[in-house]
Amino acid sequence: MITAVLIYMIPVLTAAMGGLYSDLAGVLNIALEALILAGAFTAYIAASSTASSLMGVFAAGLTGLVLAVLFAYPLLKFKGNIFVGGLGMNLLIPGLVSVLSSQIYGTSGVLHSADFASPPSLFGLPLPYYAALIFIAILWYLLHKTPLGLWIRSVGYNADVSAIRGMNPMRIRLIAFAVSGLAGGIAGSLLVLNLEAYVPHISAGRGWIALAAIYLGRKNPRGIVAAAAIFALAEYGSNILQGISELPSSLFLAVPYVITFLALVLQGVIIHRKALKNE
Amino acid sequence: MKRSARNTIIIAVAALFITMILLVLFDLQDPISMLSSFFLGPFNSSYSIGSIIAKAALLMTAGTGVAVAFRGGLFNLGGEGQVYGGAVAAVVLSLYMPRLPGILGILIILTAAMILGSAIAAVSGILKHYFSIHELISSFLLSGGLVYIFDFLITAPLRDPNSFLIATPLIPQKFWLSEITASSALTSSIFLALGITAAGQFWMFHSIAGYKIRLFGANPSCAEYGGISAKKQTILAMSISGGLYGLTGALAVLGIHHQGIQGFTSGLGWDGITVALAAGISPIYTVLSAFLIAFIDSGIEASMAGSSITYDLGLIIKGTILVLVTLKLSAGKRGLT
Amino acid sequence: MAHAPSVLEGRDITKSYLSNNITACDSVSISFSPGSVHTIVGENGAGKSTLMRILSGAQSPDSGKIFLGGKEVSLETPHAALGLGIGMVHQQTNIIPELTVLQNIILGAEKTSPLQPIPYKKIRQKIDELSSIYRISCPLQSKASVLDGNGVQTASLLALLYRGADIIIFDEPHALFSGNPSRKFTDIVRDLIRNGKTAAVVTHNMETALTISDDISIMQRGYSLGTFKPSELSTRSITTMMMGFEDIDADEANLSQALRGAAEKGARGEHTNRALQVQSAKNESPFRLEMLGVSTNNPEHPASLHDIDLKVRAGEIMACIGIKEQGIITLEHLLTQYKPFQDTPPKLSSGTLKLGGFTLNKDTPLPNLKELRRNHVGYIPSDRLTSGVSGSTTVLENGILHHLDSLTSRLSKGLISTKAAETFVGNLIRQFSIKADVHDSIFTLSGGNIQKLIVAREMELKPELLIASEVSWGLDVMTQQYVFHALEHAKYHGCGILLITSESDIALSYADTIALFYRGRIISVVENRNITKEYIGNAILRGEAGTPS
Repeated sequence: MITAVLIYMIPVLTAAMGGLYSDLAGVLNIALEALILAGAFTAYIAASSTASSLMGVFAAGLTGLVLAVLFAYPLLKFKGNIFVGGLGMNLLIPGLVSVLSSQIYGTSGVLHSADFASPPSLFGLPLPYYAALIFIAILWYLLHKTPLGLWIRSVGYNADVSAIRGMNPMRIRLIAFAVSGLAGGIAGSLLVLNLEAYVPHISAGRGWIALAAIYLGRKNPRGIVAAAAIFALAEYGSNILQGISELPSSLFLAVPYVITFLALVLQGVIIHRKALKNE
Repeated sequence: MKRSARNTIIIAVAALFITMILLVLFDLQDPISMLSSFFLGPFNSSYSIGSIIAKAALLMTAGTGVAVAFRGGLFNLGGEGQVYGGAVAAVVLSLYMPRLPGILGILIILTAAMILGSAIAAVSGILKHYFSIHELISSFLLSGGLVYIFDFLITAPLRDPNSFLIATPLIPQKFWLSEITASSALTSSIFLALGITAAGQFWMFHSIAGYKIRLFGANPSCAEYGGISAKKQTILAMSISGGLYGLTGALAVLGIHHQGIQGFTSGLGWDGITVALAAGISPIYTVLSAFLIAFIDSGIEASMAGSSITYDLGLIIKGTILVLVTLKLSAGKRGLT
Repeated sequence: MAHAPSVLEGRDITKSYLSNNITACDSVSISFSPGSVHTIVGENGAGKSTLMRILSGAQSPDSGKIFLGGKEVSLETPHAALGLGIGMVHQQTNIIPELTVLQNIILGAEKTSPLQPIPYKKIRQKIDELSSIYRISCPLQSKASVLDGNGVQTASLLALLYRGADIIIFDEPHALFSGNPSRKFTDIVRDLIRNGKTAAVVTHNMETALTISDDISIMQRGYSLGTFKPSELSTRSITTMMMGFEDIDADEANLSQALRGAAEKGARGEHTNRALQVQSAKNESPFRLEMLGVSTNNPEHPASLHDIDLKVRAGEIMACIGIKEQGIITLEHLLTQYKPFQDTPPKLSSGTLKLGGFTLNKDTPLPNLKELRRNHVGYIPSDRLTSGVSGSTTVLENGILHHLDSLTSRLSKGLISTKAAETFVGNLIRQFSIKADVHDSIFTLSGGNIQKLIVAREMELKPELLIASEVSWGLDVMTQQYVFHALEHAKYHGCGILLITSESDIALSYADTIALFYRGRIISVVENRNITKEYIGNAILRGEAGTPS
């Protein structure tokens, strides 16, 4: 069971940790969903053509990073609205992936190949998932221990004061956004490496759940781990129920969203109550 | 207003230009026939012209609602669930209250769909005002969950066991919106939609409520100085956008599909956002941008036969439009967030 | 890191603000000698802060040059200035409340590469060392949001010292500065000098200026009146020069002739003391505002109000004059319960407040602006560009803000009649000679025209009490006259006006009664008869309220 929950949890957690960078810098990346998808697709290409699952992770991370920078740079430069741009990315990238899939593989459906490098597993968890855990730990460490992490937070809280202290807020935001792209891409590769195939819509809302996890986790890594765990348990539970219940599967697909939503509401209410008491 | 008009046209031209480039890239051997099937295909039959108009009617209704939320400085990303909810409400009412008289029944159905859509969106407004939960996240999550619940309703309790589709039975004919030309998808819904955009425009720029929402969206500090309630504006703007999304869903049922089919309104929520933003968040210009999007969808459909083109091309074009829009909006300062 | 002490000099510095046509600094020259304390005194708006911001890289001058150690330097950003050893402790919070105090101090100077761990241990050692040298302390591990005004300035000073600043500029430092009640600001400055630093201090407090300074520069309305030695000055003579009195006392006559000339150059415009024509009728008119023993929450804050007794009658203009940071703006926010950017307004902690028909004490919720306006209380905010107007909309849309209910269409009460709105705003524009068309975007208007629109809109409400804060700040003479003409018109129609101002000329020219604020208290309420600027200056700057001459 722990393995199964971790399989759900780690991709969301990876994306959420990256998203946290963008949010703390004040430029929340709402295109995570699309970047996960792009990462998944490139991971499939790389892993099936090089027969190396590590290459899959690497290619996916790079794709996410490059896409995020290509997208964020003009928006930051010309002060465009990062949310509207993100919505655009969420339409554009799935379309592009699907078109590329049919151009390259002749189908925009499920991609599966005998050459696909199945990643080795340890305790039932594919090795790239361990790599992702290390990646998460590095992000956590950088955010809390290094100047970069301090700068990202200070730019998000107050860009003017940060500029007075000698930072270039735009550059720091771009870096934070790039990290979110990198993390989104890696999260996507995990999905493909676990399934050993690429399925359309493989991201299945995980980018959005990751965004919710950032808020649910009160924008700190420990909270985000807990939020991702709640989501993963909900997903796991709904899968178990789906197996034993006769109700149609679609009802169970709603569970992760509903649980995450309810958790967000519950938390909002509790914080509000506390604030009232303290007054 | 004049600036919105100019922006809408610039965006429309740019979108069509990008579309042409993409089409040519798709088929380098015979780009001319590709372009002609895309641009001329939709005008081949009165049926396909009717489809464009019918689709545009839905898009302008949704787009007008989105424009209201944006004017209030709010992001309603729950459109998918709100449209679907309106559609399912319309199906349920028309199947289970078949004895309602025609016109009155239609009115009741449309109203109920609006109420459901606005209730869903209002939840996010309330959560934002009282508990500072970002409406962008909450509206998306709520809608994400509801979509699957509505899917379930169509696939199980409402499903027509005799149909090959995953769909409900057809709704009684008296609730169908009347066709304007024979055997086409063109119905009276376009008049309703045009009425809504005009009313939306008038309401936004000439009513006290519209004024308050706009001022609140543009400068919350100044609105507070003027004694305008943040609570009311937040909840009202969300409700209106949800209500029009709900109406869009009901119009899709009564005007086009006449039954509920799994996922049949998918994409309308996002399209509404594209339409509203391309129209410079002015309801009246959604007429133009809605026709643009409907035409692009229809052109893609026409050029799908015998080519590798799929609906995905539409996603690419719409995504590009949004990215263009945000660069255009750069002067908008805090207008939207 | 260590810089050899050198002279910082600004020559012919000029800076104008385009938005309101104000020249904050008019060809000002100043020079800070190494190892000395240089104080700059002047009224609110005299240009002191602008000059200091320019010398610390926070603003760039329109013209003029800056020299450090005899070499011309360009201070493009505060960061660049700090690189040359020049730092400023700002009046406004220049910290990020969500980070810890320690993080705020080291932000931007973490002494390591971006991806290396921040050596907190080493840094703390260094900060502890600085803390003990200068005998100042900060709660380093706490969130900076717990700091009060003194704490913020202490943290800012530590941040500058940590970066090795040699020339430290203080903008309106708090008297208790060090996080240690027994250590005063003056002690800290002495420690700085002992350690080879140079200090420049902008202050209202003349005792401080006279005690700690080696040099004192006096500014008035964008001009420098010169630099003096403390032995050449007294609190009286400083007050005299700051306020620009024409009649300098006999014991000040030994001041050089040049100084006299400079003082007269600065003083523009005569002010006539207002005879109270309707004196007898006025004393029977009803009160529009009554404050009895009112104090606000957060009593340690320098801007808090203490034990305020104030009554405004119908047909009276009551000026509340004081230093901005010493309570008058708090009064504005308390009465209106409005603070821009959704900030929390101050609350009553004791006393009774009667306004707009409400009788309020610390247990009753204070009415919001909507309720106040419904009860005929009008409000012209001090921060007019953020709160008074919404930038991305038109003159028409801003003009109708308070009058939506009276401009409805005949069709429905929910609709605005465009015609009625155009006529209404058109009238405002005509009556106040606002240079704009109803459909112009508000950002195309000058600051003066924006203020006229805000005043016009408020006057249309026919208020019984008008709270008008810094109404004439930054306005040209013509606009100022329009604005006060409107206020007087309202006054003769029975409006009581609470005129909150930091400009003594305004109070003297237009008020019937003047309440003098000093450090959050009213030290005297006097009729505006035979009051001199000197009297006001002594009251609000020195806390001395003798009998008006």
